[in-house]
Amino acid sequence: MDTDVLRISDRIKGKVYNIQRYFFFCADVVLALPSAFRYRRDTLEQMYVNGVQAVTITAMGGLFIGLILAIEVGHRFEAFGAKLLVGRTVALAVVRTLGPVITGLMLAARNGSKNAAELGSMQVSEQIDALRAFGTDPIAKLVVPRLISSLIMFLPLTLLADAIAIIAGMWVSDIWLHVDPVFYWSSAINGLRMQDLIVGFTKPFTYAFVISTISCYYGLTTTGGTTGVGRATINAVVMSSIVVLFVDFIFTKVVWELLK
Amino acid sequence: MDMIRLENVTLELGGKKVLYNISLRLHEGETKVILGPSGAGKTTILKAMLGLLRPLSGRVTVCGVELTRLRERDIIPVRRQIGMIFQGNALFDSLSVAENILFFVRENNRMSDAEMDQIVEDMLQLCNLGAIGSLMPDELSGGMRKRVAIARALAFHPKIILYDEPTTGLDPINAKMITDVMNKLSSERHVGSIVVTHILRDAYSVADSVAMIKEGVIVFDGSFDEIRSSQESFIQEFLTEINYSD
Repeated sequence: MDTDVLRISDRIKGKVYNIQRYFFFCADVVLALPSAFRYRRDTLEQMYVNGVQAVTITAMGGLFIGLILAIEVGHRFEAFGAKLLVGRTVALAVVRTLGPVITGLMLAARNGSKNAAELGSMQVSEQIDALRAFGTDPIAKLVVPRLISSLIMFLPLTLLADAIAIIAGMWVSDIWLHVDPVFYWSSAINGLRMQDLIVGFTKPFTYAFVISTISCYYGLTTTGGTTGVGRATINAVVMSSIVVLFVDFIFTKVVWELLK
Repeated sequence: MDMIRLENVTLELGGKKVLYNISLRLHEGETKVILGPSGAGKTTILKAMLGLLRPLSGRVTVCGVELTRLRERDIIPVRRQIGMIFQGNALFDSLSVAENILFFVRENNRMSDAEMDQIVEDMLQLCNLGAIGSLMPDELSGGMRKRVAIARALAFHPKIILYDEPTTGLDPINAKMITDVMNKLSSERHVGSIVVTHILRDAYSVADSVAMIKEGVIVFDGSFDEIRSSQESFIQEFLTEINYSD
């Protein structure tokens, strides 16, 4: 019994220690931000890999959210004679929550796993030690470009997903619900208020920060060879996804209250 | 002046003490070999010398600068005076040989393409490597990878080189190539070196002095003649075992 309590206590201490280390890591990343100019080539390269190459998955995500949402909402609204509200509902749901969250989750899986696996492999093969040994700060060289590129690219990717989702919803409404596209479009645009745009467009920056820092943190703290790289990658994706959803909840509740 | 001085260094890893009260010195231009079995703490000593690991107590001084109390960013200029050859080479596998050699030169200097090409050529020549600049690390043999790692460490003209098991896993011919390069660096460039190994033959061919470590404690520090005449049972056993296995 005592040993069980001790084991649980050690596990909790370990988790708390990890969270503390993550916050120290974030502080180091923020302090290293001025190195972004020095490593601008790396940042551009990461913008291509983390942003441009993620266009397809983001667009597909947006497309299917829009299609599914319009079908589900449209059929339910049609029963009440309210199918004209489909445009407004799709736009609101997509811009405020679904667009940023789905994009965030997909980028957590795609970019988070890439960051954790890359840095984890470098860690277990002593490449990170080599960087430090030869006087290069791995946070400045590897983490800052990944963070900056995500901060720059996540918003356009989210906007793309939002736009495609709304257009997909318009297509579904036109074909199956026989809602005039012009009416759908004006309903969608008129239904959005400034605070919806603020909430929807602020989230990607937060997601960029948490996904980049969490995945890089797990990568740089990898131990235990190739199995460790696998474990770090899983932890990075799981933790990033949970934090994306948690941040969404915070935004929805707190920011909504503030902007009310 | 001592290029490296460790004074009473005790170091802990994962809550377990791995070095106990270690004191070592490296003089200018000297090659010191640290012998010891696997897990004795040899690599940990090298990492402590680079400031990659912080001691629990004691002092680490490199080129007159005490690292122990410096912040990470303040250690960086000191590290730029040291070249490290990692046991697994730690070459950047997504970069070509030439890019690996130039990686840290580019980090700290602005140079023309011609100057950088010249550095690559010089380093490859110094390490007895042909025109392999465009190859990727995974296209090279173990011995060639090791020499590329040495070339990378030399590219920015360090004052000290730390070798972590430089010949482990290599056949005798490749191992001799590596020790030849190490001797060449010592005689031509007067680079101070610390070589961590458990292979006595290689230690004998490069060392000016030798230290032996057992379970995190330095049990001997002196010359080869002295270690051979030591009556310490562990040292005798270790040297006999090594001679037998080699």
